[in-house]
Amino acid sequence: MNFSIEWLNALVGFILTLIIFSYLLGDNPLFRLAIHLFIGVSTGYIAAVIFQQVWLEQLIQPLFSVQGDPTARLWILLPLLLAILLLAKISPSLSGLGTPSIAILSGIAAALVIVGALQGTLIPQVQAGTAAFSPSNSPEFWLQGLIVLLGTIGTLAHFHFGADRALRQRGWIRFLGWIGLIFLGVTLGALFAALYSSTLTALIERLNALISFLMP
Amino acid sequence: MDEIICPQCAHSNPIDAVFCERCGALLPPARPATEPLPPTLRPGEEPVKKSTAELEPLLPAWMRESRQVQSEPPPAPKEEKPAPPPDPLASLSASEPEEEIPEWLKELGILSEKPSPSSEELRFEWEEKAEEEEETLLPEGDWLQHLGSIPSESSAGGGAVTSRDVGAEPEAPSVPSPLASETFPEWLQGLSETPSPTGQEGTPDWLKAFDKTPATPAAETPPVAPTGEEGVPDWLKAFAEAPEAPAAETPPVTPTGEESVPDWLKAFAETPAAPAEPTPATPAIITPSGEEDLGALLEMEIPDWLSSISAETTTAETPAEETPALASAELPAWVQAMRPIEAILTGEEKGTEAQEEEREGPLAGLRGVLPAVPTPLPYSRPRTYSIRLNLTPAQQTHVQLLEQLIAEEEQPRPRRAVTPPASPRLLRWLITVLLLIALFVPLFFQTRLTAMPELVPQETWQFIQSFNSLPPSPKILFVLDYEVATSGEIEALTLPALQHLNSTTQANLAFLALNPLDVSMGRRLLDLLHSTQPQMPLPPMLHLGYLPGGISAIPLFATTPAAAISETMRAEWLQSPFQKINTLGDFDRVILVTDNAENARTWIEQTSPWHPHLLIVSSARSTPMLLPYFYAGQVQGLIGNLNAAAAYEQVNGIPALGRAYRDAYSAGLLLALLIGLAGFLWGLLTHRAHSQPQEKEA
Repeated sequence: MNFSIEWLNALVGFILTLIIFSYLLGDNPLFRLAIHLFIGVSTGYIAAVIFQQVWLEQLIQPLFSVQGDPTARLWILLPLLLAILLLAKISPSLSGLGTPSIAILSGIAAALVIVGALQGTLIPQVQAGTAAFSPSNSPEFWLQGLIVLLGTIGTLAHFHFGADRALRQRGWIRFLGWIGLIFLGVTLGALFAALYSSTLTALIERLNALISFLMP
Repeated sequence: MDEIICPQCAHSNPIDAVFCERCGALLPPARPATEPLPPTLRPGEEPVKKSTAELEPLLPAWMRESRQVQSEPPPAPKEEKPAPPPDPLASLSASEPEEEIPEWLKELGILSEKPSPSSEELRFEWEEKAEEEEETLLPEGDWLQHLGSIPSESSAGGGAVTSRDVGAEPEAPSVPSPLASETFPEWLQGLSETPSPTGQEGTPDWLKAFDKTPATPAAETPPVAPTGEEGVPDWLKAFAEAPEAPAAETPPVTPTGEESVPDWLKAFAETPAAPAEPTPATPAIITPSGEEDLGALLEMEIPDWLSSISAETTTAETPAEETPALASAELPAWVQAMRPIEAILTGEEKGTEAQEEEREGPLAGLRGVLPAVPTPLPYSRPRTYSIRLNLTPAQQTHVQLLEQLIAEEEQPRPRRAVTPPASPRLLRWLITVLLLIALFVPLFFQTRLTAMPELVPQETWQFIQSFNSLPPSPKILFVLDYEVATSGEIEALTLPALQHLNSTTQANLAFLALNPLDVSMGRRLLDLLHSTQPQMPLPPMLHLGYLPGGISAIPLFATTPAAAISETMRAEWLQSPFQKINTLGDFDRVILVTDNAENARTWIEQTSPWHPHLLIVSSARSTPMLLPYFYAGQVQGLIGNLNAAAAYEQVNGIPALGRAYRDAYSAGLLLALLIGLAGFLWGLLTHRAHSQPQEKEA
């Protein structure tokens, strides 16, 4: 047996996999050890990556680089200042200093999310939903479009929390809500099946890794 | 102080006590400090002349009216004169004989003609016992003496009056009496015309004695200056003329024979023996006032006939007292003395008796020092309300129903016997074992029982076609955004695409990690590719590292990819085939490898303005969320699950992990399907088993 690094990696992976599988017996210290080990290693890895690829390569090196543009260095100071102010959130008495940094991040993120959702999801999806009913399309597209439309309307009718009581008691609204409930059930079933499929694939990969380690 | 201190034992006695309550000694007279002394004429003071006419308005209405009935109303010149301050003493001496004669006395004309027995008795008392204080302390009854003495005085001195009037008259009778002989009432005229009413048939014997008595006071009255005829009013002259004859004949009282004196008068005759004791320089009867002095005498020795008369008179005087114009203090003493005993015993005596005597502390023995407890107000029992509700039959029915409901809620319901389900641990172990067997056996034996998929999903087919249409030396960006836990699935899905690229074109690969843990995943993918195609060289690749900033960094990278990466990576970027890439749209293909639908959606949304040729390799859990973007045309191809990867491998003709995992994957899906079906059937059976007892209970 060749005790290489790959073999050691496979051995550690094999042991940790068995420890994770031990959760079938219930919560146990080995399982917790594996979980803590995974969290610790991940955190350390992430910290190392951020320090190297963010702080060192995108902040410190450009700031003290001789070859860089002096004007560009000044621009680097702005995110540095905001980052330092964000650290002031640690102290309750100085937390107000970090508010500008939080405001900038929140404001930019909110603007991007709203604009992105509008132009990347809402408008394109509405266009796609109405495109099915183009006269040039075949009846198959029309049928698909009708199903999608019915499912959309039925789902919206089912979630009619904001509607008044009189409207909710109407028959056709309740019928559409019932159809929407069916679509919701099918959707949730599909999501569960997809989740099971994903998990099953991961389990197969782990079993295959164990088998590969035992029978290379 | 309403008490009398005993001089023998210093015991405090009530004000009305005659003898000491402790030692029985005779108590000295006392006069309450609060009771002012009646106005008296003290030695050294000169009497003030008063005109009786000036006091005419002070007379009570009933007196004036009674006089008007029997005589002509006299002229009232007194109203034109300014009225001096009234002098009760002068009024008593001047006007009592005529003005305050009550009706009963008027009716008893004979009696009014002569001094009353009581006045005679008083006269006897004062003269016998306290001659010095007679004029000051006992004004009451003087007028009676006047009635008897005037004739004698007039006969002797020519119009002399009582001892009080003596002092008032000598000056000058400036105000002549308005009463003329014509205005006298009939009974007075009768008196003047009748020289001696005594000895008549209608006169009782005891009244005959009164005809003789006026001689006695006349002898004792000090001589006064004779008054001229001008100074004596006419009505008074009538008095002077009438008794003139009998006055001379009237013997003193003492010589009166025993036969002519009634029994009650004999008692008066015997009383003078008492003043022989040395004690009193004061009246024998101790009363708060001189008026009640007389009352005490009357209380003791008043005859029956006078008692009845006095009672009637009192009732007649009651309305006069209630008139606001006549104060109680202005009543003549003899009228007040004739009030009933109950009326006399008001105020001080009753109050004294009613007052509590202090029995403890420094105020022990004193009465009325502390305010007495006020008399409780009239007490009326508060109205009581019944607490019982008046319920209608309908309300009672509702109450019973409510009580029944509450009672039923409180009673424990028999718990329905529920068959306990199979042990979760056993079931879990059973499923685990079945699943492990179903997965392990195909992997261990590397079976190929299941056929490869003949049909390729549309999104996967589009993915393949997208790769097939790549230009030579395409520049392909792999954006890695998945967790390490899902790396086994993601690698199985990505590997067919890498094999396709590596086998068909000499693509330039760049790997950008959106997750710090994915920095090394690009190299791992290439290592996996090399393990499946060891004979083929790996394509050139560029690791752009981690893109910090999350959603904010995506537009920056889409706009200027070189500006978003680090300095080190930028240097490599500038030396790589990607140096001509200015925007995200300049990449030939952008392959988003993700297991998170939200991050994939964000990437799609933020990069849509640059219209990249976007392909997605997604975990099966995220695929349902990302398919709409494929159908909307925002994503050109998608590999969404292991079946799609197996189909891609089938198309490529290069078996990979899809083929190796397919039997196990199919067995796992089949097992899940069977377990789900078994659970569904078990649920139907248990539901039916639970519903039947409920139907039976219903």
